[in-house]
Amino acid sequence: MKSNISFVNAYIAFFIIHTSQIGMGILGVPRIIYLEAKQDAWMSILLSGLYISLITWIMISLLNKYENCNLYEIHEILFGRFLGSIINTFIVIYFIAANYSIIIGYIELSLTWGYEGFYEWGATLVLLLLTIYAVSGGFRVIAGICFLSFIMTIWLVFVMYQPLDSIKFTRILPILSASPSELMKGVFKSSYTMLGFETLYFIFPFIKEKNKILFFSQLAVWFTTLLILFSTVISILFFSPKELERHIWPIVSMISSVHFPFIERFEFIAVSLWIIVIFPNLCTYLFISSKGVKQIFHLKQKHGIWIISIIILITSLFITKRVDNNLFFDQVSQVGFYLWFIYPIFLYFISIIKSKIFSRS
Amino acid sequence: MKKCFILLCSLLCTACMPPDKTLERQGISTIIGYDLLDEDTYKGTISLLQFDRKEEKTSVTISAVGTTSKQIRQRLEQQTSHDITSGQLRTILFDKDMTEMLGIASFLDTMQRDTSIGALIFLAITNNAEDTINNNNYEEFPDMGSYIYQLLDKHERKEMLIDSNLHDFFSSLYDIGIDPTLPIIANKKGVAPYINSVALFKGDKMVGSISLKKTLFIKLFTKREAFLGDITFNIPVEVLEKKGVTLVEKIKGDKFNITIRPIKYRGKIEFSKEEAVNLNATISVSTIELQPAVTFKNKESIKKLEQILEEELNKELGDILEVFRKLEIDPIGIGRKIKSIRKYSNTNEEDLREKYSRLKFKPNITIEIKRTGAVD
Repeated sequence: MKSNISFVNAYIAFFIIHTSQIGMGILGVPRIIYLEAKQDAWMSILLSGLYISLITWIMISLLNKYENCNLYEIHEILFGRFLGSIINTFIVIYFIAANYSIIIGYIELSLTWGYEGFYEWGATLVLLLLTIYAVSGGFRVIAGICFLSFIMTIWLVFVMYQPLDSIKFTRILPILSASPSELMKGVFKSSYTMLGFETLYFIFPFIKEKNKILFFSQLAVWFTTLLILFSTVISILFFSPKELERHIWPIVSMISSVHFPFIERFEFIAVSLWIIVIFPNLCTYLFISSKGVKQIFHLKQKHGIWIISIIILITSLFITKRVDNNLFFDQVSQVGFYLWFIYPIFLYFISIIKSKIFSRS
Repeated sequence: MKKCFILLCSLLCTACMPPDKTLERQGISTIIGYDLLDEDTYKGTISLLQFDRKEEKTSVTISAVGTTSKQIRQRLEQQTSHDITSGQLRTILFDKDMTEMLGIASFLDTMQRDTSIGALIFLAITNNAEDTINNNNYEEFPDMGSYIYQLLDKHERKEMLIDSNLHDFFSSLYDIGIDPTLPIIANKKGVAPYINSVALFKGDKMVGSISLKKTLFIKLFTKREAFLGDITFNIPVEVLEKKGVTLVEKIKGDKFNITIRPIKYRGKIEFSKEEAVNLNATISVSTIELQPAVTFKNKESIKKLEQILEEELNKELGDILEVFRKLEIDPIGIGRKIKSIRKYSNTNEEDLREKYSRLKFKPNITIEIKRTGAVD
């Protein structure tokens, strides 16, 4: 089994984790956290980043104990084949749901920005076919996509310098007026945007230098946190409270005040370009979920990819309305929070307890 | 398999495009104006650019009546063979009566909701939007929309006007503790429309106006880098003498006129403990015109001249603050400043307005004459 694992360098982990984290969430996150923590939303993000940094460390400590195993295999080792498969099935369902939430989120955005009238299932089909094609290429192709996506889109950060002209610093004051519980609610709501670091559980076996991976995954997590922090702070300073509470995608609305002499309406470019930002998300999630199907049902990974894609396509016929989507994102983010913010700690302790028991006997 | 797959993908991807838009078939609206007819019906007027070379006229204006902005647009479509698009919409004009009586926020909802309209379109107020758009004097521009856009854009770029685009308007309308302002465009027969004054809003309703020159006091405290505009003072000679400003030679007349140009400024609103607001500002200026041409003797007399100018400005600022207080509006954003203090961060809009009406204002502008041009 080890023979067909293709290795990549440790620094690639930075690109994979970072691009999996950044996706549809960042466009709407300033509003979602603002609704909870008001002008202290940025603190929730910092706290969330700090927490994820800790979780990443715990994840790597666990993975180091079971070298060359991904989470699915660890589950089977820890809980046995039957119980492990049940948990793995649950994780696969989560990844399928997360994958669909990204697809429908992007489709909703692009339909609002200029493509109104197109069928949701048609757009889903296009995105799915692209993803299937990429994932069929194997892990190295996905790693390449993540790298390219990062290089091709990171310059969008510099577009933000134009909104900087009309920001008002008093809007972020007074600092620390939100109560701790409001801040924690903000952390909870930030999960949808921050999720993506869990890919570490699944890409770990593919990385060549295991000792360097902690550094690069921490780098990725903090880079993402800073990026989200930056966009949230700018949004808070740029929009008045009521405005920020109204806009579904504050970042896109903010970019709509960006203009160049040769492009009057830059947000249309940004929205179209965003497909490159979400593409790595789709690829990694499809890859991980198909890997899970392979592990549970002993199918070929290729068949897993097709089965999952068909499930997503069928879903796209039903969940398409704004209100439904919102509910769906909320569910995914809640499940994601418990699964990847809380569960890794339990898993780590279970593994410690189990190894202690075994070493005694 | 793979080849078929790539073919399928490319077919799908190339087919996903919105219906084609031929330039000649487009009716590109550059300006839209709304007039109030009665209670619930409005008249919308748009100016469309013509692209057909054979036509002599470069633009067409059409009007329609309706209750919502999009209904008006639907009815406008009935009057033209062109496909009306709002991607190039640059200015929205509102009738003065409508802004005073009904407010304009409800009309602007569609501008935010509709993604084909950008956040950078200008808003302005005029006496009768239909007449303004139908005015035929628009310099060398192809239509009224382009002319008014250039007029406002030039002012915005040179920072002579307070920001008046859609985003700025919303951002101060929805912010607690600041009220928006918009330019007023005057329209007279035989001349091109021009910027006349600046409208003051309470919420989304217009309640008064101030002259363009007076906006310098608003800019001083709301923007960090703007062009304040030249300031001219007419000072009686006695005042100069009384203050002890010594000149190299004596002035013959009894008036002394000076125009200064602000180079840099820094404005700060300070809220002191005893419920008073200090409006501190320092402006460094260069003198650009003196009538009669005189030379100041020494450093002290320049300092004294600075003091005279400061007093003058402080008095003007005090007056304008009283005007604002009488109208119960706060375009400078004092309320916002108060709200940013921890103690008052939870006050709601009504309490803030009530508090605002009781505040003591202490204008404190400092002027520093930095340059005097090529002559002393």
